Amino acid sequence: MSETFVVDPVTRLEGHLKVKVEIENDKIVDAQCIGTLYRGIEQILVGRDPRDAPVITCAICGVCHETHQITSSFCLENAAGIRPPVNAYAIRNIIETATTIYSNLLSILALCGPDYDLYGLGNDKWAQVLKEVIIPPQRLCHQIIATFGGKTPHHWSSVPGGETKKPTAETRTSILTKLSQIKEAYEHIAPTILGYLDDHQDLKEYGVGPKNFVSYGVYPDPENPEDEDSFYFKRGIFSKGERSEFNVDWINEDVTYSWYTDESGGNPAEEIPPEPQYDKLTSTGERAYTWAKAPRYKGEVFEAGPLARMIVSGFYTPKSQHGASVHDRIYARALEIGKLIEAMPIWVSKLKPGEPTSTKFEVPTSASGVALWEAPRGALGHWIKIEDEKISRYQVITPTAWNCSPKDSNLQNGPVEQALIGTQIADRENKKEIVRTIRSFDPCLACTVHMIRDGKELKPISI
Amino acid sequence: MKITRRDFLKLSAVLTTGAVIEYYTSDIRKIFKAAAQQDVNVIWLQGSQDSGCTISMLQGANPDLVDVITDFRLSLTYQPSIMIAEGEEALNRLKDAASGNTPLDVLIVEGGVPEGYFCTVGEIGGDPVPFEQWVKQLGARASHVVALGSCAAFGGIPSGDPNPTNVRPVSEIITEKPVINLPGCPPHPDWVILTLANVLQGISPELDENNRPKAFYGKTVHEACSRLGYYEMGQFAESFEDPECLFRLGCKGPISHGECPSRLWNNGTNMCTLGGVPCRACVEPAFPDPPLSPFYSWEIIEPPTSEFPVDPMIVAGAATAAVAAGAGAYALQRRSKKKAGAKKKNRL
Repeated sequence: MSETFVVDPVTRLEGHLKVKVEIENDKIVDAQCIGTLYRGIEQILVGRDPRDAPVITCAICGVCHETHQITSSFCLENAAGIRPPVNAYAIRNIIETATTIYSNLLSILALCGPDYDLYGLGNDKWAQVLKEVIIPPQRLCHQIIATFGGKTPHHWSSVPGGETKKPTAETRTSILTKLSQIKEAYEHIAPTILGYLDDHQDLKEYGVGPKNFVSYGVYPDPENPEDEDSFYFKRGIFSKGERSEFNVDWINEDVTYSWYTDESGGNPAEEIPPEPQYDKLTSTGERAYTWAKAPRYKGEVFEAGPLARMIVSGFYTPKSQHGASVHDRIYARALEIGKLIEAMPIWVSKLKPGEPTSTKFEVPTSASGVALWEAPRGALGHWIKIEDEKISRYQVITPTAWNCSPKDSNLQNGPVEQALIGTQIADRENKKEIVRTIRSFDPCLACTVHMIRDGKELKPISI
Repeated sequence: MKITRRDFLKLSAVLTTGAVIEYYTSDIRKIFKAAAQQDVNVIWLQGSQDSGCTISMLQGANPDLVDVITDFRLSLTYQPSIMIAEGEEALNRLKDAASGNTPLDVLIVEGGVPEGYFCTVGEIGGDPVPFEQWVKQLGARASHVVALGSCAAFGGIPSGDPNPTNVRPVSEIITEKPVINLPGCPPHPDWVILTLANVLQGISPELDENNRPKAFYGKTVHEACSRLGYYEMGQFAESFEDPECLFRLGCKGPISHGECPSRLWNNGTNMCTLGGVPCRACVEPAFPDPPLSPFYSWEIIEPPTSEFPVDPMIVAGAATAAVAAGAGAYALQRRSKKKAGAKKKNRL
């Protein structure tokens, strides 16, 4: 006999998330990822001056806001057919690096941390760890972003055409000084995290997912940005044990199980802004269950995130015999911080004091644009269509959309759902596998998770 | 030790200066320490928002206050981002406060309030609970209500035209008591900390006509901007990287009320106009819609004449020519007016 468990809210993901699982004989047999907030950012963009897009899309996420601002700026530049100067690429790489280090630290320590006996997170040492270990390097990351961006969160200095702040020699020194402090903190933190993961082999046994990975690639060489081979993290897919090229035309958004009309969805370059239809029934009479859409690549389910980036770039090979696991996701995320700390000085060295950071951007009368980039949590795409100098369509596909997507018309579950299905629950009273799996995909803000069983709440994982 | 009301009023009176936290660090520490140790019930809800306000307060707080603020936040009755309390306990705290079983001293709402099932938090008896319901029930019980960030204060970006999910400010949901608005995208962490320091002492700060504490929102960004001299000399930047005034690139500093230039962001690192970013007036009710949008423009408008100040509405793209003072008032209009003309609204 199966039991239904609801985890709501799972807040450590930007926005609001609920997860429902069916458990039979201590094994998860079905799972639903349910997005419980809809804001309609794409609808808000229609009819606006295209230059508003980076500021509006920035508010999609308060954690990786920088990423949306940058991707939206690239998208407009693509539509206008202009290329920003070397300085702008270097600054965007620096901002993205600082954002990703910030976000990975947040995920591993503040979000996943309390689920493990790691650093004493989750017990009475929590406040101390937060103050002494987690917050100081994160503040430095934010200061690096604010150096160029004015303030952060929501830095707003990435504009169509480039960046707003010219670097100086002093800027370079100041960033490197902060980076060396971040490095020191990381060297202190990393052995604890990696050592813990190595000591807990059970973490390799669950949270497998689709084993298809997508990375749009990120950190182009500022002097040669159009050459995909120059990307520090590569663009490509990894599927069935092999790496291959990525083609943006093969992305399609399925809305079969989403609370949008069946007319919504499709190829992101062409689809209409989503039309809400709460509590929609599918053609077979099932209930749609989420505000999230289901992006698919060649009709298949793909996972995005640091693990995907690290695998596609050849920096990491999953250690789980199953091809992916909770262990691999957190391990790859931790190692990525090290790769980024190594890379940051490269972008800093490309800053050219006194040289321009932007080129003139003119709103095209009609044009289409696309930008693919990597948010801390994975593949991020923005698509724009401009008509009469106004936005006529705007589409954003976030990494969360890939990872927390629902079932599609072929009844394939999304990555988080797949990672949950098949998981054996070791302890009925303490189903820690569920939240550990969800959080391994880098949910966003720290929170608490509560579980409801047939309307009656159960004690969540004990920490 | 609890500081006296008189001391605190003294503190409130000088809130306008960026240095207040340095002068009063020990007093502020005492307030937050006391609140963390005493039985103060504070609930922090998140609605239609992006969590930027939470991130701002956690990462950007004055270094001398980080530890007490962290302790305070961990002691909150409910705070989805940081609390370590377990789920069952957490939900019960919300329910207990909503039903009046436990007193609620302060309700902080981060995010706007969309209609019904566009945002739900938790389930009761198997049914998702609309965020709006939590705000209404908890608001009725709270002694003080703080709307944190532009989305909670005025609707913000999710309420941008055509306001697809009918996002309303907290003050339209909680109507029976004053709501202290702390707009900003995000608000400066000092604004939040100092306002909470007031409220925790039972003192309501003096508010402007948009219910924002006058101490932080009393002056325009323009008045204290480091580029003001260029403006007065009639020298304007033609590209964002230029050192001159950003006014003609779409800067809304003259109609934006905030003390960013004197306080600076991220521990004194920078602020928008200092970084070449035209002010977006993110603290104003009209954000992100006209006359504040389009946010920036590359077009160079006609050079200003000797009559200063130049009409900010020219830059803001409004058809109405108004004097600077009148224009400011126009930008400050409440959103509800705009909503009447909303093109298309989703139905649930």
